[in-house]
Amino acid sequence: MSHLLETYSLQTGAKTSKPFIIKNFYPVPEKYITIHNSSGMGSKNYDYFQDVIDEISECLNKNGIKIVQIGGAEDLPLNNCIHLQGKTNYNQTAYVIENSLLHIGNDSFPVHLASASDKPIIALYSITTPKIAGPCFNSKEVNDYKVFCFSPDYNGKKPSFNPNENPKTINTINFENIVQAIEKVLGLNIGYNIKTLFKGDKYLVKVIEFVPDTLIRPDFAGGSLINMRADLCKQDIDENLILANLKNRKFNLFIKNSKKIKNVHVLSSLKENIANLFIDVTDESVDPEYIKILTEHGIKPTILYTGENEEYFNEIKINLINFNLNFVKYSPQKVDIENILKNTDTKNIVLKTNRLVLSSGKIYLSILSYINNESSDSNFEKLDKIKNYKNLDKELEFCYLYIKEDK
Amino acid sequence: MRKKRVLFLTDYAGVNTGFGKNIKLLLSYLYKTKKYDLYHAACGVGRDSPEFQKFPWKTIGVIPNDPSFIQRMQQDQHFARMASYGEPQIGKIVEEVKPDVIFAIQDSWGALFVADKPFFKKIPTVCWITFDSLPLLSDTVDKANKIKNYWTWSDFAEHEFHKLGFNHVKTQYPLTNTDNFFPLTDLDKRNIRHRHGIEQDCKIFGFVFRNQLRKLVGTLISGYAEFLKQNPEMENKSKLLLHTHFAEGWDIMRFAKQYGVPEKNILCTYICKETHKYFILPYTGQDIENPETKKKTLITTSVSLGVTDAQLNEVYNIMDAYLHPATSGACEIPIVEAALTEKIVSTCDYSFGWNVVNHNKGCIPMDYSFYNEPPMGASTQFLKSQPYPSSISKIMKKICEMKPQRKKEMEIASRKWALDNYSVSVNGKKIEDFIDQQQIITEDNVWNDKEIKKVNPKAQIDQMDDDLQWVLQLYNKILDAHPDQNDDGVKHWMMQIERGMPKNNIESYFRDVANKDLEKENVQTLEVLFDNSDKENKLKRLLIVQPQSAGDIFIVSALFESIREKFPKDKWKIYFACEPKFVDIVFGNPNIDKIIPYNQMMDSQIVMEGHGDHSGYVDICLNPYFSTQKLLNYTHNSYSISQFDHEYKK
Repeated sequence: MSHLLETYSLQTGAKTSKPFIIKNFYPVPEKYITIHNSSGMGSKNYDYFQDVIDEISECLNKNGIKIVQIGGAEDLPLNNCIHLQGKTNYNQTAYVIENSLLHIGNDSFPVHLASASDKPIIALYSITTPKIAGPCFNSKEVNDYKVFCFSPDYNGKKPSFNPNENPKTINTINFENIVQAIEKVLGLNIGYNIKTLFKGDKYLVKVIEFVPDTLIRPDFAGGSLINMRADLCKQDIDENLILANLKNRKFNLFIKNSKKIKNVHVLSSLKENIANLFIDVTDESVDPEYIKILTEHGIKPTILYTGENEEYFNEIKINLINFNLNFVKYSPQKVDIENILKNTDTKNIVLKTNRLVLSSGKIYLSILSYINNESSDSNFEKLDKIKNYKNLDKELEFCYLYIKEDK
Repeated sequence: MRKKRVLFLTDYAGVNTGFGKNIKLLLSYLYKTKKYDLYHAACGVGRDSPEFQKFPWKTIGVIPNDPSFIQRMQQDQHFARMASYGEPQIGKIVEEVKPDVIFAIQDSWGALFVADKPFFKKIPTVCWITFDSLPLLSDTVDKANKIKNYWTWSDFAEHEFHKLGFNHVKTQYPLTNTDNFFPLTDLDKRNIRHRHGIEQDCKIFGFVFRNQLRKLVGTLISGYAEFLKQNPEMENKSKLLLHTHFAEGWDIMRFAKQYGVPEKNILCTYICKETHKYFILPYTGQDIENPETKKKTLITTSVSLGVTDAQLNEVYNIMDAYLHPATSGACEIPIVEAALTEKIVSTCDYSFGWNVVNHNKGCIPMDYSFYNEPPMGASTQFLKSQPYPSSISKIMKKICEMKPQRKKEMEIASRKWALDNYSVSVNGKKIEDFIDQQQIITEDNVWNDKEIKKVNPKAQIDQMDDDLQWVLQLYNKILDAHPDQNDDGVKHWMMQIERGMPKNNIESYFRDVANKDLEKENVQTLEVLFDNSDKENKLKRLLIVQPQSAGDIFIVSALFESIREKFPKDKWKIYFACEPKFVDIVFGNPNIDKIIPYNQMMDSQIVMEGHGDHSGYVDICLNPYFSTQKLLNYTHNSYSISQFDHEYKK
């Protein structure tokens, strides 16, 4: 493998020196680090920067250090950051990086800017390697105490060079490695050690499961599509509330035979706001008469099944065959929670999720917590605070489990 | 008052095609009137050629000397085809020539695009189109309302347009060289027959053909076979003379064997590769012995080695009748030539044959049936005619039994028809009169080629199940091109879809082409990107090209200091080219003299530095991104050179 710089040098016959770029002033805090969560290719983008920030921001704050997010206007904004995405041009970005304490980012232009300004760097690589694209202008060698380049464990394989990796190998880098590197570069101590135990396949997917026992704001969650879980209502559903919510905004609506909306006439008048109508048949079959009424009103439901009994689901399909419906068999990620928790002290384990259940103005980190009536203030919780947490297995795909213990 | 300027868009007058011959005769005729300034936008040829000097009128090739244009022709079949017809350039040529009258003379797909050009409404423009088969292509009908001066080459098409209510469509026959073909005296004819060893009382039925018409030779032989079968006495008193190249297309002698025609009854025209004398002999193969020199130098006449017009005139003259089993063109020249030599002609009354049967009193029509051409290759599902062998046989018998006086009357009528309809003087005069009816244009803005670019790289493309409609949609909405399903480009993409190419890739390709078109609007030529003063200041030019991306441009900029050292400012001007959005990364760099926008042509050092007669734009062009963005060699698994050195030294 040849580094880009070397390749360009060979191609042109020119020697290398430090690159020059004009740096234009942009107002910045006194002490800050920069973070860049995008790049020219999706495969190069690390998706756990928010988790890094969640663990480090308190300590940085105490030390008067801000986090400045740089990049393009379309980059996903990270919480607890000063947002400069799309606000600075290349020359201002060069200025912002030159005055920062540290740059953290994917394999992209800002890493090279930081390198040319001899800044400490934490850079992440996956489909390419630091050997061919790493920072090359720092006066110290790569992996010196100021420059950290992380690559995934390739398990004996080579980098894929695939711009459309799925799943992305870069996401196999555990976020605690980056947290530790930040502590090292800045000479800080966050006070505890972190160790990843489990990353659910859908942890990064932001989901809101809204139980329709209240009215929700039309712009809640930035107006993004959320799931209305009538099927999760503990008592009889309040049809008027469901219909009132549907008047306000768009939902995926989940019902089941015992929690179905009887006023199909009104429901059909709101069908523009129903992205999908799912009828969950996992626990209860569905009445074909009801399907008939729905289809007569121009509503085509999707029949959802999350169980294992193929024969049962096929029976439902044959009963409904004349309606030409969509059928979805959803199989959650299989997780052996006992094995994950083996040899660990559960009181130090944190469960974190991006899928929140909302009911009566309260937040629950899982359907299990909702059933247990254990609400939370944030999107993480000590695992042992969840009653019967071993029954979480079907929901763990939305969770991140890690040990967090005092140093 | 200035002379009227007349511009013709058609094949180059120096090529031996029907269009080429027609324009050569027409321009020669018009030139002799000394009334006009004549310009010829020649299809399929480069902008300038020393060869154009051989004509007294101004010839302009429709393909410009622009490397980027030629590159696009190489990449895009549809574009290449339309470019060779002059579609992209005709507006510019009109702007340059400032004609008072324009003639577009081609097949419909190579000429009707003029109706969409900005000049069309302002300058009298004739679309003089060949039609050879039915049905009329939809585009030719759709545009009929728009085209005031709509001419066809043959009556059957005019007839068809009139049926649709487009009564302004009229026929204008092409110009043919009627001087070189004429009846010889009886004595001359006897001498020629004698020279070729042909009995004086032997009936000779002739057919002069190549290309598409080859497929009809089997039918003709079959008809002749039937004639011999019904008239066995004619086996020694008749011959079929096939003036064509026997070594290409159908195996003619296999047909003879199949239908039971003796080999001695099939005559052909041999020509000697050395003496260029011709011999009419029974076909016995290629490279046979020349009876005069005794060398094996005789081959059948072909495009590469053919007979002269004078020799061909003799060939027609020894025939008793000319049988042309069917027509498949807008004007079948051999029928006209045979008629000029006073021959009874026989053909089907379809396509060009419609003119012959309906207007030539020396014609005996053949009975025929229709068939549809398969929609393959360049052809469409056109209707074609094919005579019945029994009809051919009957016609041969009729000619043999015809009374001499009746035969003579028909022969004279045949020549009259050819002269009246196809001579240079008759048709040249009609066109001359048309031009004279047009006004000299005095307004200045008429010729401006202000065509608004309608390409739209961001056009919304609807998903549809019908792949053909989807491809046509890409052409229409993104490129503002309107090919039909028979277009080579359309066929190419249909084949790619069939082979499993993702539609996204195809769509991206179209969007890229549209983007490049728009780019080209901004950057007319590469030369304007560079400073004119460089030559005055005796500065050599070095261009570093790195189109994208931010990181790579920044890394490459680490080389500028070293490059500047090698190419000092007093002797060299260093240019850097990148996509405009990355300019800030290099802006203000002390080692770069000028930043210019990247253009795809910069990928080629041949274009940029020059090659052969092309002098290029810069003295040195460096393309570092080739090794990382065009080729990914740098990601190889082995050591880099520096690592290897390191390892080796250990």
